[in-house]
Amino acid sequence: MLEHYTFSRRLFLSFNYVFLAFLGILCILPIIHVLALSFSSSNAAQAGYVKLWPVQFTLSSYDFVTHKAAFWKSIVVTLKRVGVGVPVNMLLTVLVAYPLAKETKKFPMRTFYAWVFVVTILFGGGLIPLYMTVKYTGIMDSLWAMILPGAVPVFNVILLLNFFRGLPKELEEAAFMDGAGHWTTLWRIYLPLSLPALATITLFATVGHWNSWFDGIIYMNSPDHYPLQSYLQTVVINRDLTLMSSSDMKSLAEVNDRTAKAAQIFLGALPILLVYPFLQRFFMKGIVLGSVKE
Amino acid sequence: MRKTVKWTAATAMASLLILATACGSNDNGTDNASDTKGNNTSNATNETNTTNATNTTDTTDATNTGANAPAEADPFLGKYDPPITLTSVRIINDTYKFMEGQTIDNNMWTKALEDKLGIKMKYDWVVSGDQPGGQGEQKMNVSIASGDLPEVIPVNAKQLQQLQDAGELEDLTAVYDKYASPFLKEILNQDGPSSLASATFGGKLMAIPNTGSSMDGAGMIWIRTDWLTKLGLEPPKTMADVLKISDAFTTQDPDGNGKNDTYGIAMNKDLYGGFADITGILNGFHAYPKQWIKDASGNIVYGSIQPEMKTALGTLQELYKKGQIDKEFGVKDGGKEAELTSSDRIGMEFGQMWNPLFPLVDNKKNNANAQWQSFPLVSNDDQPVTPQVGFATGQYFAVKKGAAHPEAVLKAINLFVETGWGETTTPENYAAYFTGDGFEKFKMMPFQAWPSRKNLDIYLHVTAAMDSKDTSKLNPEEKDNYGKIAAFLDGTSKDPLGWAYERIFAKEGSFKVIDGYVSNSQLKMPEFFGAPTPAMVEKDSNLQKREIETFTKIIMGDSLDNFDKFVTEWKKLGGDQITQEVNDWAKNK
Repeated sequence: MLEHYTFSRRLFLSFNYVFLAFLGILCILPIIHVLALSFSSSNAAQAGYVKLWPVQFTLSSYDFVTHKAAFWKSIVVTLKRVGVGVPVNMLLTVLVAYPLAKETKKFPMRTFYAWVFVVTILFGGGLIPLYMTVKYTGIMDSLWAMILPGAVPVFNVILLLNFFRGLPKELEEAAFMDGAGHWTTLWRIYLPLSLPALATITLFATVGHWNSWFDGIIYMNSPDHYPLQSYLQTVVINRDLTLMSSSDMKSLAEVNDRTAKAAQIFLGALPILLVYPFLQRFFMKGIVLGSVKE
Repeated sequence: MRKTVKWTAATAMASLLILATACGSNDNGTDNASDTKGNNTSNATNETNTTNATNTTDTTDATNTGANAPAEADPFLGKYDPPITLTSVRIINDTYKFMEGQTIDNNMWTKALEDKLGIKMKYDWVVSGDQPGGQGEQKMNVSIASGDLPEVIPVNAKQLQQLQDAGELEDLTAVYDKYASPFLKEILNQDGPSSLASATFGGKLMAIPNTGSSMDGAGMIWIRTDWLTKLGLEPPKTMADVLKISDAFTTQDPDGNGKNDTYGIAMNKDLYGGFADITGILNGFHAYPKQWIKDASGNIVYGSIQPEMKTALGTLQELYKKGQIDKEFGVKDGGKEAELTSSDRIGMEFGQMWNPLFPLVDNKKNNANAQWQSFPLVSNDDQPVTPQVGFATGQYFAVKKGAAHPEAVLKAINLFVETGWGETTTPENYAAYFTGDGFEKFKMMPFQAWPSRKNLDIYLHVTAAMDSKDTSKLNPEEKDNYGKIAAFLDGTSKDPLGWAYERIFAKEGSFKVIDGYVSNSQLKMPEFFGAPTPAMVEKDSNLQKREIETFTKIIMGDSLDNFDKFVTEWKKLGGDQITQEVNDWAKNK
């Protein structure tokens, strides 16, 4: 394969591959380590014997996790959140991006509306006003508190908007010629042509919902309603032992279940890891295509 | 285009302004409303309380005999009739385990509060994550900032100061005098007057401290005694002995595996933290990191910048250079460094009394022959060592201004301490509400206070019972510990945790060390225990980061003169201002 290239090009490529492989290994090693920990005995993990292969292989931490109701409850919450939140995100993104992709000639107030959305990227009300808005709209402690405040991901809107603009205008004109209105043009012409971009922002929206944890803690009034990442945050965090009160003495013996933590982290990351390979080919194409305008 | 941009920006700004003011006024409105409502109900229910409350519960009969007038209810544990509802919030953590069918809203303690005191608990929210700066603290901050407060507010010192400054809190002085039981008053004062003083503003008590124990945090030396015996060494009496042991543990292959893979002293990247902690070593040099101490002229000064610190850091630097400290300590937290103690590579660490429970027990699990024992700190000269201890109150229970029953929280804490350690409590009662059936039931109780001598008393009473074989004088918690230790000592239980409890509470346990400190009045208490001062809030986190960085670098080989540079910088970057504020605080205390 390399024979068509000059020497310097080949040298560059070889170094490039080595470098990228190194980066790749750097990224995958921690995941393998966590996986190895989750299959090891607690003593071995605590003594630091576990590197990349399980020591004293055991399934006990997975057994422990399967019986941990809080973990499964939080998975259900996250699945619900992704199941409702991502469609809401996608619908609103498409509906906002389509008109904003039009030229000013056709949509005179376009720039104004575009700024209305862009301002929300630049300025936020801050945590407290947001919290009060959520509280007084009465969606506190419900699934909607994690979905509605972020229902229009403006960054995704911009991505999709640029992609729409990159599509040939002639297609749209032809559709209008044939008597299609805006709705038909959007659903029958634009969306089928935009699958790569749609896949990309679906992925962004899914990962966003899957990984977000802070809103779960702020808006949920009971740990039973935590999504997965908020729950994991409470599990994984290192406890500060200097301020140990006498009442905590007995909890100390439990500080230490590293293998169970590893199992929960791995199980929590697994679904999203599985989604990536399927969407990845769209992912690259989508971003590149959207970024270049002709 | 440019015009539109300007215009849009202007509108955006304007709308933001409107939003901000709207929020502000809204906030005030609701607050006032709830305040007046609170006052009205407060008057109404106070009347019903004094006329109706004649019911008392079984545990309170003893305390009730003193009441003469039939209308006068038992102020300490009298029951509300009709029952009242008390709102609060809970910050829990991942170690909370619930019994079958129970939840945080519905458990043995919420039932006890309702049945015995007529208090129905209602939590506005429950958050998991109780570490400093963690989820609970963040959620609490949001609640405070948005004025979304329950009647009883569990807060830390900083939040208490905030609420006090905002005038959100009910004055508890009179309520405390009348409703806190004598036993509760004793417990709140066991650690000295500073707990209550830290919740007192201008002579008014604004919150009830959840007292802990400062003596429990005193430093000590943990050493592998099986290694000492093997190498023919004696337990340390002076700092020179410690250095000798450290050298021997590094070079003389104490684990006998033929490899040069051991270190002398364990350290972690945060330098402090209760395990592999350098506080104990520094105290040996009469240096007191992060502690406010009195200097010779009676002024309060910051311990980390005193000249003794430089000497101590010099010694640590020497140890690091000689390979007696883990080369990688700078990137390992306590849990990570514990891998080395667990795998027989470190045999000495400076820590606290609970170290056998975590993480030394893991060494015992991996190597049944490993034996750890605690020894008192040692001095580097002829001056006796004074181990520093922190301020032990981390949580306060404040009451929102205008709450209907500010005294309810005191009744609840009365019940808590009476059930735990009072004279009327029974082992069954203790098992039902504190620890029993493998559950830590006391965690279900929202309002607590802990006797600071509790753990020391366990040691004293358990060791006395071991000698006399008479367990009749032990309280239920002590009996529980006695049982575990006895089962370990006579070999009926192989649970490594039995070993850990034996290392803490039995004859050679870590409380023997603490008992020594306490009976010789050796402990050095902090001179400052108020809420963080304004300059602390602004500058302390930056200064502390610098401190850890500088100390770590010096230990790892930077010039020792950088310490002097650090001291100058510390003073310039807000340290002097903080010192001034701390001294002002002490004058107005």
